[in-house]
Amino acid sequence: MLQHDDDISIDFDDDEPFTSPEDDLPAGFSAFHQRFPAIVSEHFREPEPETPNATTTADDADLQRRINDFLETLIRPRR
Amino acid sequence: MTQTPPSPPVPLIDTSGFATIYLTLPAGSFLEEWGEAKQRLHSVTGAVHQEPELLYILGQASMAARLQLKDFRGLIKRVYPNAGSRTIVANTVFSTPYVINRAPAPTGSETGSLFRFMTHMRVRRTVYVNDPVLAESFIVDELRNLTAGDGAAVAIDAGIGWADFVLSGAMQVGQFDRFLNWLVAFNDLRIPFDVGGAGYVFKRTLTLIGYPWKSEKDQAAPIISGFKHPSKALIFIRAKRGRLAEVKHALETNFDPVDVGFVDGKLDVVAVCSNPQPSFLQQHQDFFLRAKEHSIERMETHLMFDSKNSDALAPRYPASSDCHCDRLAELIDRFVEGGALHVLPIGTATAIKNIGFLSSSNARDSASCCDARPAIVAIWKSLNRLVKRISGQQARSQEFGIPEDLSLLLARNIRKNIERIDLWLLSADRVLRQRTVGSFEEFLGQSDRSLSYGGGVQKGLLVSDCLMNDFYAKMKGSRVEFRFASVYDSVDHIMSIVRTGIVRIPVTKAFHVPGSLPDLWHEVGCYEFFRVLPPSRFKQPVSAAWYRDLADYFGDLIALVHGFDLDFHRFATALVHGWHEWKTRDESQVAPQSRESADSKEWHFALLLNRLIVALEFYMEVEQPQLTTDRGKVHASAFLYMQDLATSYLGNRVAKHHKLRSVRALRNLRSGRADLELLRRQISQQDIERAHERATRPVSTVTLSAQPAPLMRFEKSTDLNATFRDLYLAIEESRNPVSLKARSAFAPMAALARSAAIEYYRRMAKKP
Repeated sequence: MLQHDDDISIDFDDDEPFTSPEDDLPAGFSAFHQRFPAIVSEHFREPEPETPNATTTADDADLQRRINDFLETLIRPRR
Repeated sequence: MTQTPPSPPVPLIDTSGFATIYLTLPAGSFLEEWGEAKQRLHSVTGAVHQEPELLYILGQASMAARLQLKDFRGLIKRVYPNAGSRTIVANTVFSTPYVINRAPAPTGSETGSLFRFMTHMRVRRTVYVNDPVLAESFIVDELRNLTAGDGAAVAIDAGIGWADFVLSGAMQVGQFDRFLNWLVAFNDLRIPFDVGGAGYVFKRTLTLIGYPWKSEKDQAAPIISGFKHPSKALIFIRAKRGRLAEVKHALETNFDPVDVGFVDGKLDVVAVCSNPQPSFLQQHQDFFLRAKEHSIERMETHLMFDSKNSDALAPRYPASSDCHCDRLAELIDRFVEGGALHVLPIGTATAIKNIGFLSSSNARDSASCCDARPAIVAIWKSLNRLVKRISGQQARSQEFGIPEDLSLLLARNIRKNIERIDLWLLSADRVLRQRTVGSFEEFLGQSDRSLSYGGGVQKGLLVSDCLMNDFYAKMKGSRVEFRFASVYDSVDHIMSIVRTGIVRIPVTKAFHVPGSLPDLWHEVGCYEFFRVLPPSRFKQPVSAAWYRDLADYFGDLIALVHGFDLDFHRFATALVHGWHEWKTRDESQVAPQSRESADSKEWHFALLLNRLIVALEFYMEVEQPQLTTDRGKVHASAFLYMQDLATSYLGNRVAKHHKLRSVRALRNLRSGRADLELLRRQISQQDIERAHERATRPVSTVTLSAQPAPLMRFEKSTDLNATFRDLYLAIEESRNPVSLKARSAFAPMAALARSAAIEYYRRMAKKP
C-alpha cells in the first residue's frame, strides 16, 4: 500500500467525484490550528445556553458517573 | 565473479549541524564584508561556538561563513546576509555531519600553512534502489577511506539541500597534490555493484577552495608547493566600463607569466596563469583585495588541473538515463499545449504556460529533477482539477434554458476558480523555486529567493511531501499518488491553500519534520474534505464560516483515526500544544502593543475546546457508544474535562475564565448535529478496525539521548508516518510540564530525516 510505483508519478488523471457544478468552495486557507473566523459577526452571535433537565433520576446520575469515569481516563496518557 | 566486501557499520549522525553561507562579493569589498559577517554572526542562538569560521574562497564565491549549530532556527532568525550586506549573491548550504573517528584537524603552527575545501556531491538516485542504508554506509566508508591520512581532516556531512554529501576539509599545504587526486577520485567513487548498481556514485560534484581568514587586514595565504606543471590558474574578470587596458596592465604586473585575452559574454577578460608559483594564493589575495583600484567589478578564479589523467577522462554516467523525470516534462508540455487551457482568460493561460516551462526545465535538469518530482506532479494535478472544474461549469452555464439564478451562480463560481488559479500561480512558482535553490545550476548564480529563509532545504520538503502522500494513501487504503506539495513560508502555523494540495509550513519547522506531523495530517484531512464533501451535501443553508469549521473538524478526525490510531489523549495534547506554539510560546518576543488581546485569546481558547469536544464526541461514539445517549450530558462533561486537559497542559498561559466560555465551546454542536454526523459517517468501520489494529503494534524504539544517532533501515512497506509519529511522541514526552520545553533531539531527528529521504529515493527510483 505504501509503495511508490514507477509510473504513478506522472499521472494527472483525476478520480475526483464530480458533484453538481454549482457546488463550490471557499477560497483561501485551511489550518489545523484555528483561523480567525471568516465571518466574525456570525461567530460572535452567542447561542442560547442549553437548559439542563429539571429533574435528575438515578439512571441519569449513573450515566453521568460512567461518562465522567470514561473521560477521566482520557485526560491521562494511555501508553 | 567478485564478492561483495563486508558491510561497513551503519553511520551515525552527530548532535549538531553546519550551515555554510557562500557569498559572492563585488571587487574590493572583502574586508568590509568580513567585518560585517563577523559581527552579524557572533553568538547566534544555538551555535556551538560564539564566532563563525570565516573563509576566503576562490572560484565562484568570495567568502564562506560556517557555523556549527545545535539548532538551525537561530541562524534563520538572525538573517544574514541582510540589507546592509555588500553581497551580490548568497547561498546557504545546511548539512549534518556523520561521526567519523579521525585524528584532530591539523591546526598548523605557521600562519598560512592550511587550506580548506568544501565539496558538494549529488548521488545518482538509483544507487539507493536496493538497500539505501547499506548504500549510504558504503558511500560514507569509501569517502572516509579515500580521505584518510595524516595532514588532513575531512568531515563527511549529509546534505539537507541539493547536495547529498558535503565534504569539508582542512589540509596542510604539503597535501595539496593529494587533494588534487581526490578531486578526480570523487568522481570515480563506486560502491559494490549488487548494492549500488553499475556506474559511479556521484552524478555531480562541486568544489570550492579557500583558507581561513582571521585578520582585519591582510592575511598570510597558504604557500602551495603542489602547484606544479601542468596546473594553471584561470581568472575571469568583469572590468569597469571602458577599462580593459587598465585591467590587462594590472594582471600583467601582478602575475607572471600570464596570458590575457578579452572575451564576449558577461565577462570581459580571461587571464591564464600558466605556471602558478607557490605564492600564487598570496598574489591572488593582494590582487583581489585591491581589485577596485585595478578597475575590476567582479572576479572569479578557478584552478585548472591535469586533464590527461585517465580517470578524469572516463565517462561519469551510465549509458541510459537513471530516472524518468523527462517523461514528466513531456506530460506537462502535452497538458499546456493540448487545448485544456482554452477555457481560461488568455493572461492566466499564458502565466500557466510559463510555469509549465519552469516545471519542465526543472524536470529535465538531471542534477536535481528527482527530488522535485512529487511536488511538480502534485501542483499540475491540482491545476488540472481546477481547469476541469471550470470547463464543467462553463459547459453547464451554456446549456439551453437554465434558470437565471443558476447561470449567475455558475458565472460567480467560474470567477472564483480562476482566482484560485491565480493563487496557484503564485504558490506554484514558490514550490518550484524552493526545490531548486542552491542546486548545481543555480549555485552562486543567483541568491536563494525563498523569502523566509536563505538556503536549500530540499530534503525536508521532499520528506514532508512524501509523508502527506503516504498518509493520504493510508487514509484511503489506496496506492500512493503525488497530491501534496509543501512550501516553507512566512506563516505562523501550518495551513493549506484550499483545493491545491499546497501546504504552507512555517520556516521554523523546516528542520523539525516530526513537529509538523499532526498539522500535515490535518491538512490532508481538509484536502479530502474539500474534495468529497461539497456544500450541497450538508444541511442547507451552509454558511462559509460553518463550512470551514466542518473542514477543520474533519481534519481533526482524520488525524485522530489515521495518525494517532485513536489515542485520544495524544491527539488532544497535540492540538493543545499546537495552540500553545501559535498563541503563547513566543509572546515574550512580541512587542506589547502587538500582542493579542486577552479577549481574542480567550475566544480562540474556546474554539480550541470546541474542536476538542467535537473530536471527543466522535471518539466516544466509537469506543463507548452507550455513553452518548444523552448529548447534553456528554457535552457538559466533555467541556469540563477538555478544559481540565487544556489548562493542565497550558498552566497560567490560559486567559482568565470567561462566563461565556462553555457557551462558545459548545456552540453549533446541537444545531450542526446532522452535519457533524455526516463527517463521522466518512470514517468507516474498517478505518476504525485498522486504527485499533495499528494501535496494538509495537512503537518504534526511539531514544532521545544526547548521543549521535544511527540511520534507520526500513522495509518498503514501513509506514514512515508512524515512525515520525513515534519520534514526535518521544519528543513530546520529554517536555517539561512547566516550561513546556522539550529535550533536544537534533541527532535522532536528523538521522530519521536522512533515513526517510534515502528510503523515499529508493521507493521513487527507476528500477534497473
